[in-house]
Amino acid sequence: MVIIMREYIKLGGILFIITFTVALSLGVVNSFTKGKIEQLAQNAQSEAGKGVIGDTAQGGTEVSYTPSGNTSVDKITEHILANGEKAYSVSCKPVGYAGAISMTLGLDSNLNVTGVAITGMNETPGLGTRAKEPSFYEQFIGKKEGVSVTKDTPNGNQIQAISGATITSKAVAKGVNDAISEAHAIAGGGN
Amino acid sequence: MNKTSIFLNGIFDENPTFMQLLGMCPTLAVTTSVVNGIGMGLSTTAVLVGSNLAISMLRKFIPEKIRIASYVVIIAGFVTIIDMLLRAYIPSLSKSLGIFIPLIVVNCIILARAESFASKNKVTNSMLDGFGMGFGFTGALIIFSAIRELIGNGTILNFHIMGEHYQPALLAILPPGAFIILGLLVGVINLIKMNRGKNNA
Repeated sequence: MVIIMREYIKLGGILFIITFTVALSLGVVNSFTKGKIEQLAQNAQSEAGKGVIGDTAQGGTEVSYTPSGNTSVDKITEHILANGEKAYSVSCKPVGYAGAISMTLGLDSNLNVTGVAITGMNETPGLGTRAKEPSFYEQFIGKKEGVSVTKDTPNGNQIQAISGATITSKAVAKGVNDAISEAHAIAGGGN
Repeated sequence: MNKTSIFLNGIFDENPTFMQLLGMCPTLAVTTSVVNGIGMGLSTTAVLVGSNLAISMLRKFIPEKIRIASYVVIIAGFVTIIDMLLRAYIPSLSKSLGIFIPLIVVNCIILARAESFASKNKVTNSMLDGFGMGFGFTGALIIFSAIRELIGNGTILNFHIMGEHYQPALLAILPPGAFIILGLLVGVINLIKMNRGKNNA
C-alpha cells in the first residue's frame, strides 16, 4: 500500500513539475504579447469606426442602448459631422456559418449605409472570409433598410452573395438590417 | 540511420500527409489558399521541433505511465505560445487560420513523432526529425493548396494564373473538393512510388 502511494505521489509530482514549467513559460510569453494583441484589436475597432463614417466625423458619443428582441446590435455611437448632420457607427455581431461575425457599419443621417467594416470572424478560410474583401462589403454602401441577398445579378436594394458562402453573406446583410432598424429608434424615425 | 536520412525521411519516405495520412483535419480544412497552407505548415513545424526537442530532453525524466499526459501538456504549451505570437505579430495570418491554430494540439503528427521518435532518440536527431516531418507536411500542404487555389480561384499566392476568362471551379475549394483532390493526389503519389519500386527490382 505504502509503495503504491509513494509511486502515485512521485508521478503526480513529476506531472506537476511539467505543467508548472509549461504554465510559467506561457505566462512569460503572455506578458509580452498581451499588450500588443489588445492594441491591435483596439486599432482595428477605432479604424473601422472612422472608416465607415468618413474623416469628417467628430469624436462621438456612445448612445445607451437597449436591445430589442433578437437583434445582433450591441453598440451604437452617435457622431456629429463637420456639416452639423448626425451620423451613426453601429457595431453588431450577426451569427454566420461558424459563430458570430464582428462588424461595424456607418449610417448617415438618413440611415443609409456609408461603410461596412468586418473586424472579426471564424468563417471558412477562402469562402466566408471573402466577406472581408472590398468587392463584397462595398456593395452595401448606399443601401437602406431591408437589404436582401441574391445569387444572381443584384438590383435595387440587393447585394450579390459570395458564391459558396451564402450563409456568411446573409449574416452580414442581417447585421446591416439590424443596425438600421435599431438606429431608427435613436434617430427618431430616420427617413 | 544517419542525420541526413533522418531529415529526409519525413519529407519523402514517411511524408506525414501522403505516406502516413496523418494530420488530415488541418490538411483538408486550411488548404483553400497557398498562403494558409504555408502558414499552417510552418506553425506546425515550429510546434513539432519544439515539442520533439523538449520531449527528447525529458525522455529519461518522464515516467512511462504518465508519458502521454506529459506530451499533451508540452505540445499544448508550444501551440499556445505559437498562437499568442501569431496574434501579436502576424495578425492577418492568425485571422485567416482562425481556430485551426489552437487545433494543432490535436494534430496527430505531433503526438506520433513524440511517441515514436523523440521519446527514444537523442536531442539533435529528434530536432532533425521535427524539421523533416514539419517540412514534409508543409511541402504537402503547399502542393495540395496550390492545386486547390489554382482550380478553385484561378490564382496561386493571389497572382492570377489562369487568365481573365477562367471560370473558377468552386468545388475545388469547398470541402468535397478537398477530399476528391486529396484522394487523387495520394493515388498519383502511390503510383509513382510503385513504378519506382518496379524499376529498382
